[in-house]
Amino acid sequence: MNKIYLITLLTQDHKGVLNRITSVIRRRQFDICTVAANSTELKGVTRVTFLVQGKSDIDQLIKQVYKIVEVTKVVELKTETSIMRELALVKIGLKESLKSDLLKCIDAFDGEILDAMNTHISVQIVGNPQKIDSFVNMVKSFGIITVTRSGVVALRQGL
Amino acid sequence: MNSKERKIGGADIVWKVLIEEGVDTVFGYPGGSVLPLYDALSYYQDKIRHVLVRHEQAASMAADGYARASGKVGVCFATSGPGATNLITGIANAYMDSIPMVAITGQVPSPLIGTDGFQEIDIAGVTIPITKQNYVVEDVNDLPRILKEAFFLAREGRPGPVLVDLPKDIAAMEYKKHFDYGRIKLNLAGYKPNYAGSKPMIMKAISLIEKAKKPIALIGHGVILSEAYKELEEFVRKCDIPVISTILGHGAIPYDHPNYYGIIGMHGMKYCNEATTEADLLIGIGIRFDDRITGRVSDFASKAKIIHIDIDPAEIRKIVPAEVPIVGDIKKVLVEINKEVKPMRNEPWNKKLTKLKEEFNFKKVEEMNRKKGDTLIHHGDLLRDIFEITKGNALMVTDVGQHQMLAWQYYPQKKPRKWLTSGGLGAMGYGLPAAMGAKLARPKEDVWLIVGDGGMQMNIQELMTLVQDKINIKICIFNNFYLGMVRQWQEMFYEENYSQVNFLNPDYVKIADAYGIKGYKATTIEEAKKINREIVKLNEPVIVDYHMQKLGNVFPMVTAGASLKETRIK
Repeated sequence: MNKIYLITLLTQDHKGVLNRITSVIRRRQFDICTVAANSTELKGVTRVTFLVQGKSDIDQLIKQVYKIVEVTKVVELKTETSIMRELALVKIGLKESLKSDLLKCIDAFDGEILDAMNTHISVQIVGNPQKIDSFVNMVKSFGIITVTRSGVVALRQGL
Repeated sequence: MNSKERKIGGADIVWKVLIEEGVDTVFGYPGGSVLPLYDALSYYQDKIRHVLVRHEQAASMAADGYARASGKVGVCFATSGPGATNLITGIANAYMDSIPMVAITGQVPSPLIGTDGFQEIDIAGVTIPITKQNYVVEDVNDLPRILKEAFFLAREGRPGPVLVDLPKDIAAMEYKKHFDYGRIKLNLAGYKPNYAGSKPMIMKAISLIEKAKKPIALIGHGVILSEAYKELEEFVRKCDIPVISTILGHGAIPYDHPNYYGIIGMHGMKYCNEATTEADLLIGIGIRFDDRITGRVSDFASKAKIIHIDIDPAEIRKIVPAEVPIVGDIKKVLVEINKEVKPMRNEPWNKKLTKLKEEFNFKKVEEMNRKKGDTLIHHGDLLRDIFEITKGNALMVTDVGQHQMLAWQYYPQKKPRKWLTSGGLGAMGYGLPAAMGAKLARPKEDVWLIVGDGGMQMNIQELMTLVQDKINIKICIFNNFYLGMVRQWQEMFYEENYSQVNFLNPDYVKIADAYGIKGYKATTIEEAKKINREIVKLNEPVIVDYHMQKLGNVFPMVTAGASLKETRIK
């Protein structure tokens, strides 16, 4: 059965390294659900966080990724003991009759309105993946024009 | 022009680094994008020999053969595009068998990269899954560091191929800094192989070794890559442990060592395969438990606890559940074990295996499988004769197929680095270029290539390289006019439906003649023996076309997916 795993790694920010990492993930038979990569508190070091799913042994994947020359650290984070966040920007069609319902919904999810016109409204939602899923489901009936979601970033709870 | 008066460019840096790294022989093929490198080569030819192959695949495979025979890093060159893609099978072969190699490819000039320029291929992208690391050089000032890292990575930890893609304009660009190789710093923060092996794990292994009644040391390529021959010998002698070898561990311990029993795997010796099933402790030393070695994994060494020693942590518990994993350099780990372990005797177990070894009659297996009425040469008769006339001292290179398994079975080795074969990748066409590389690495060795009629035609163009570079190897074509191993599987598992294995061959004697090489043909074992006695004295390349029994099969054999317990002898 396919299982979902959250892995986060540190790598020297050399050209093409993400290519190498994703190649290893594919080759060891995992699918990438989400990916987020950006700089860290360390100069020249990038953190990449993946949600992956697959049937294979996650320890084997972690060891294979760790073999990549630039990669300095790889860990699996347990989803239940991690803080996970992603960001979604959702553009929703606007109908005057449903406007107040939509605004209530956005408010309930602590959404931030970034752009509003007569025809549409663009909202930013931040939360764990389930929250984003729920919001997207909730506003489907209003007529979603575009959903764009970032990859998950995560921190282990506690120190 | 004297090289001192010339302006030093990127291309010079490449040759200078090679000289610093102790490289004396490289294999390559010129082309548009590597022109600056070949131009500069003229100024370094007194220190570096460039062997001009006839196809880039042979360059990477010859570099592999050179590396296996010498223990040094093999180096190959090709131009961009098709030159680079032709290297791929040889690079993949080196990757699968952990061979230290640096492949340097020319690339189109930097401004053309990404424009689908003439002969432009993203070779760095293409080779990601088959290299330990690769680079595209963007600044001539980075070149010495990149090359230094390439050699370091190729050699250190678990060895492997590294590719450096060098755009033409950067190779031609002037290098204005002072070239001081010793002071170049590596930028490899993420690369820290564990050489020492964990002490608690070593102690745990020792306690298992001291308790075991039926231990087996299963040795692989890692022993040779780590050059741990003496340490291995001391270990198995001191603890009286029977040794069985994988195909790439062949020669890591002399075949006449009292603790050595033979070879394991799909075409391993039946008693060796069965011994692993009976063992109560299996010590995997520098092996990765390939499926051709383990047979059905759930049955493999099912009564044994497993100690697994390897430099690559990703190999631990990849295939088999090891009770005691030791990540480290084989040599260093064995030194530690030898220091602490008590001397032991495992007499009943050794006696039992010795008896099984003596009872296993290889000739009987042969007789069982000999096809009646075929007067052509039988592989057993021929390989025994080759062993006899070379006194077991030849450096043996094989291609891939039936002849490869047979050469492994019939030509035990006394010394390491004298058995070169494509193990993990099983790449046909490997034999001839690898034998070239081996002979250039070890000119004093008597290099014999055993090759099938299929594999011979995959890199046959290299015969001319042998002549041009005066590379003296003996080429023994085991010619059965079939793709023999595929035919054997079709016979056994596809109801003798011989689909696309019937092989028409050229007249190899005429081929030899056309290349200016001595050629012979033998159709009976008597003829073969006579020819063997003649060619053994020759000091030039030679081809012998041995017409082998057409339907000869390789036994013992474990069917794919079966257990080692089910080793068939017919």
